[in-house]
Amino acid sequence: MTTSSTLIDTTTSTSGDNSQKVLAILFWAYVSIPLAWGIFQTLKKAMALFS
Amino acid sequence: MSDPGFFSKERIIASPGYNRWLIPPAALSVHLCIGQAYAFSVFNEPLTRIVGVTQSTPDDWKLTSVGWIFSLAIVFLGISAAFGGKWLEKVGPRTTMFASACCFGGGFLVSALGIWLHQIWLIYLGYGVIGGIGLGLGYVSPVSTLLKWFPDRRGMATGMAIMGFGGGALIGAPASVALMDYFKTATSTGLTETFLVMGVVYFISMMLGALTIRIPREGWKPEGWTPPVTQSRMVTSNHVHIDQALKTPQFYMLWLILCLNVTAGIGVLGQASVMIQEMFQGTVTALAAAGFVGLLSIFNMGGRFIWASVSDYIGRKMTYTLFFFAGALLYALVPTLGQSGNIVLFIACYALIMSMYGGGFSTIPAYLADVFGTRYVGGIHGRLLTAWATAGVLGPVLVNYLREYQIAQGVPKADAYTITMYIMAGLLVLGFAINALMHPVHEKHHMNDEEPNKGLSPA
Repeated sequence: MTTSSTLIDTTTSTSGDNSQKVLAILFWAYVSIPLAWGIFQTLKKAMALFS
Repeated sequence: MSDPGFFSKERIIASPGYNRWLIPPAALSVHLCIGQAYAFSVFNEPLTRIVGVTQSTPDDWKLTSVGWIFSLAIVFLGISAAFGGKWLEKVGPRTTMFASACCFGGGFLVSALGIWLHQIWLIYLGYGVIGGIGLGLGYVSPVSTLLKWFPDRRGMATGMAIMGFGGGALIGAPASVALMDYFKTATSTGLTETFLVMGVVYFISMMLGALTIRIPREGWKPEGWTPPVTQSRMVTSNHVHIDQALKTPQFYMLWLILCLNVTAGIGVLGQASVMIQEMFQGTVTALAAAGFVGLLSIFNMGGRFIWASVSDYIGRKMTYTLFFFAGALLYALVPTLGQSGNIVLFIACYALIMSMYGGGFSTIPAYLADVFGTRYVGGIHGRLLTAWATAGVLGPVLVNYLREYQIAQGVPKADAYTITMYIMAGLLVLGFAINALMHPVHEKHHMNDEEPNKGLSPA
């Protein structure tokens, strides 16, 4: 079992390898797209305020 | 030694080189789901015509009975955050997120059964109690992990997650309406199917977060980052135990700071729609007022990320000083802007107020980490959230009572908000004074390196 105490290198890259970069991009898209859709829907409704 | 379980903390210690930018979307995938709670009101009206379908019948539930569902959920959010925070420190974020996904998703499924059988107690139990527990656990679960992954940008990291809680309603409201439209028939409101779909989708989405979350190894630092040699007096490198934190005056000062900021914000948010219609009679319709509330939700969400990020540069104490000082001025300015008939400035003022209301939520975890250290900040944050539950009751009650009292005294409706806004500004002045008195925790409360973790192991 690997525990934190057995690891020597405590300073590592913060962006990981390429597969992790792709995974991060996909995961960001997964959370951002519905959020952008929700903001767009809300803004559409808010337009009534200025019409 | 036996292999640690799949959900245990030991199994989620990040391997060297793990991409820390996977952690914020993992947190967001939970917070964007549980943020749906703020959009629960879209179900209120359809829940009152399940039997009648097109209109409410005597056999249908009353709006007052339906209103308890959301209230129960918020109460259980506060309770579970307070108690679940300590459990989180013991079992780690993956187990807590898993429990949250089961409770929140499961709460929808139990509620779907309640709608199908037309038994409101099942919805109280499902969405109110079980779902409420899911809300509290989900809210606190990623916060301390984010703080540990982003020691260089604590505010931005927690701002991203807590922004998700604000954004969840922006997705949840139109998605719920679209699902109800899709499933409704001549004999059904489509609520049962909507709750079933939402329960399953939310469970899956939250599980993606639970499966992705990792905790950094002890002593991990971002590449190329070294802790500042001279840092603010308000930022400690020591740790205060979760139970010891309750013995410090700083905990109660921060509790009051959060409570006052939220009381003032929640109070005016609740009356925003009525207020703009009454102050600009003949100009703003009910539909436009609904758009105004939507716009405020966007500023509430955006403020969570922007203000928390700004706090990384100007400091947490200064950020709250700004919230309270500028907030008090803006609250006091709202009645004058309403009377002057300047709707653009009125909206801008309200939007800024809402951004600072949201910022208050997202900056508090980083403030706690600065004052008490990062080791038990998840649990301490959970306990501090009782301030939110208190403000959730105080704010609307204060505003509604003051408004009714003034109208009863013969004050015109459009002017009834003036004193209310001045009182809210007064609350912010009180917050300003408390924040000004904030000082570092006495060293007697700090943990020693040799001190046992009292049943908790640091993440």
